[in-house]
Amino acid sequence: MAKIASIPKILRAPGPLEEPPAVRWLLIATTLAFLGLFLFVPLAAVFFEAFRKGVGAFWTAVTRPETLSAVRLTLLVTAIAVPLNAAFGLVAAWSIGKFQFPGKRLLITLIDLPLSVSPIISGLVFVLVFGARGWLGPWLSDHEIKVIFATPGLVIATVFVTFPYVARELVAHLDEQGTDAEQASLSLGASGWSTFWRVTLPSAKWALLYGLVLCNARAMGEFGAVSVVSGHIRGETNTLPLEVEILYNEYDFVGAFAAASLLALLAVVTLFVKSIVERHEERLLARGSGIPEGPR
Amino acid sequence: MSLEAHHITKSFGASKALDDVSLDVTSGGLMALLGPSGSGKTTLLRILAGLEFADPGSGAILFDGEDVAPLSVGQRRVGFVFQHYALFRHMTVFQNVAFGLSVRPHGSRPKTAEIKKRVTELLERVQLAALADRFPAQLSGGQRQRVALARALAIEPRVLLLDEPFGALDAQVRTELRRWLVQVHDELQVTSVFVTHDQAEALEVADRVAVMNKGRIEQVGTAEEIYYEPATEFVASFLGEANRFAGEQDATHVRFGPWSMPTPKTAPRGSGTVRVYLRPQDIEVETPETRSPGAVRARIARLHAAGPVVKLETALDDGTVLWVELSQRRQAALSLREGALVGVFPRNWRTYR
Repeated sequence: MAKIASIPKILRAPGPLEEPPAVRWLLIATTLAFLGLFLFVPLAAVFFEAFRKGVGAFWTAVTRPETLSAVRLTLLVTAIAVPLNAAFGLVAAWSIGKFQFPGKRLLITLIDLPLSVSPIISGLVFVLVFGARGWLGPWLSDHEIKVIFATPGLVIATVFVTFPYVARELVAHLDEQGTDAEQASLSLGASGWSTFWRVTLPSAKWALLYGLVLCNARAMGEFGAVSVVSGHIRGETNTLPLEVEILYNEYDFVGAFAAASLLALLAVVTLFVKSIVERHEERLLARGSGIPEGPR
Repeated sequence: MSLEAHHITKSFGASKALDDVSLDVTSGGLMALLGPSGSGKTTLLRILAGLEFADPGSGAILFDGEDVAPLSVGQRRVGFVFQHYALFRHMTVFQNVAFGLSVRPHGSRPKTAEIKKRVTELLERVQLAALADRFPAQLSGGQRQRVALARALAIEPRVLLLDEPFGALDAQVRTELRRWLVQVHDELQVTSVFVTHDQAEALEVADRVAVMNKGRIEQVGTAEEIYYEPATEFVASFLGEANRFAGEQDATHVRFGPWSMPTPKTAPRGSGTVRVYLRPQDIEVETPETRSPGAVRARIARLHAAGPVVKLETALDDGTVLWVELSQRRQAALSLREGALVGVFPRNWRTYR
C-alpha cells in the first residue's frame, strides 16, 4: 500500500469517481498550454523586449522624466482611487448585505454597470459632464477648477471604472454571512461602531483583500476611460499605460516595453503583498491548534 | 429577575406574527415557547430581547417591573443564544466568550486579568477550557453551542433567551445538552426563556411551557398540565398523539365512535357537535372475555413492542383505527399478538368545539 501511495496521483488508476488518466492529462495540459500561450509568453516577451538592448538602455528608458512622471501619476491616481472605492464598497456592501430596502436589486445591477460599459464611454461621460462645454464646465472654469485633462479627471475616471471590484466581493460575502454575528455582538452590549470594526470588518477581510487587489490592478492598468479624459500631456497627465502607448507609437520599443515591465512589476508586487498577508493570517490561525482555517 | 410581556402585537405587512400576546416568567424560571414554525415563538423571543420591536403602542416588556422599551438590545443585558450559534468566526473560543466584557466602555470594563479569570471560569463551567485557543470552525456543533452559551453568560445577563438552542444538533448531543442546560440553569438561577418546536424538549427541560399557535399563546402551564389537560384543541393535537373522533355532546353525555361517555368537566358548554380527543395511553385494553362496562371489541392489526411502551394499531368493528399504548408489563399479562381480539374502552377523553 505504501508503494501505491508514493506514486504521483495522476499516474494512479482512476478512482470510481475520477476521470481516466487520458482525460486528466488532456485537461491539465490544456490549462497549462492556455496559460503559457496567453500569460507566460506575453509576460516573458515584455521583459525580453525591455532588456533587448541591455540593462543600460532599460535603465535610461525607465529613468526618463516622462516615464518617472507617469509612474508617479499612476501611483497617485491609484492611491486615491483604491481607498475611495474601498470606503464606497464597504458602505454599499453593508447596506445591500445587511438591510432590506426597495430598489436593492436595482442597486446591485447598477454597481456592476462599469463592468459592462465600455471604458471609452465612461471617459466620454465625464468629458460631457466636466469638460469645457459640459454641464459643469462653465461653473468649473469660473472657479478655475480643472478636471478634464488634469489629475482630478484621471482620478474620477479611474474611480468610476474600478468601483465594482471591492463592492462586488463584499456584497457576495456579507450576503452569505447574514446578520447573526452582528446581532450577537449588539446583544452582548457592543455599539454599532465597534460591531463594525470588531465583527463585520474582520470577518470580511479576505473578501475585502481580494476586492482591493482586483481594484488596485485595474486602477493601475486602466487605459480606455483614462485615455479620454487625460489629454495625453506628457509629464503631466500621462499615466503609465498611456505612456506605453505613446512610446510604442513612436517606435521606441525598448522604452515602451520598459514602461510596460514596470506595470507588470507593480502587478506582481500587488500579488506578492496579498500572498504575504494571507500567509501571515494563516499562521495566526494555525497557532491556535492543528487545523488552520482556510482563507475563505 | 421576573420577565413580563403585556399585550404584544407584531405585524409584518398585513399578517400578524403576534396577536395580543402576554407572558409572565417568574424570577429564576425556565420557560419554553413551544409551537410549530410560523407560530410567532421566535418573534416573541426576539421582541423580549430587543432584537425586534413590537408594533408601536402595543404593550410593554417589563424586567422586574421596569419597562425596557427605551433600552436597546445591548442595554437590556440579555444573554441571547442563536440557533446557528452566531459565533465570531475570526475569534478564538476565548475571545468569543470575552467579547461582551471587552467591548464595555472604558469606565465599566473589567481589567484584563479580571476578564481572563471570568472567561476561564465560564469555559470550565461549559467544559471547554482545553479548547480556549481553538476557532469555531474547529469545534463540533455541541461545542459551538456551549461556547455560544458561555458567551451569553459572560455578561451576567438579567435574562437568558435561547432560540432553538439544540435545533441544529443530532439526537444524542441534543439530549446531553438539554440535561446540561437544566443543570446550568439550576446552578445560576437566571430567568430563562427558550424557543423550541420539539415537544419532548419543552416538556423535559422547562418548568413551564407556553404553547403558541398562529401568533397567540394557546396555553401556559407545567409540562403535566399541558400534556394531561390541554386547554385547546390545538394543544391537544400538537402535544403527543391522539385518536380523534367526531362526537355529539349534551349536558350529561358525549357520544363518539361506539361509546357514550359522561361529558367531561372541561368540555365546552352547551350541546352539539364536538371533536373528541383520546390519548393512546388513556385507552384500557383487556381480554375480550372481561367485558368491563364500555368495552368494545377491537382487532389488533399491528403491534410495535420495541421500546418502553407497546403501541397497538387496532381496528374497531366498523373499521375505525384506534391507536393504543400500554406498558410492556400489561402487554405480557395479556399476551397480545397481531390478529388477536381485545376489548378496549377509554379511561379519559376531552372534547373541543
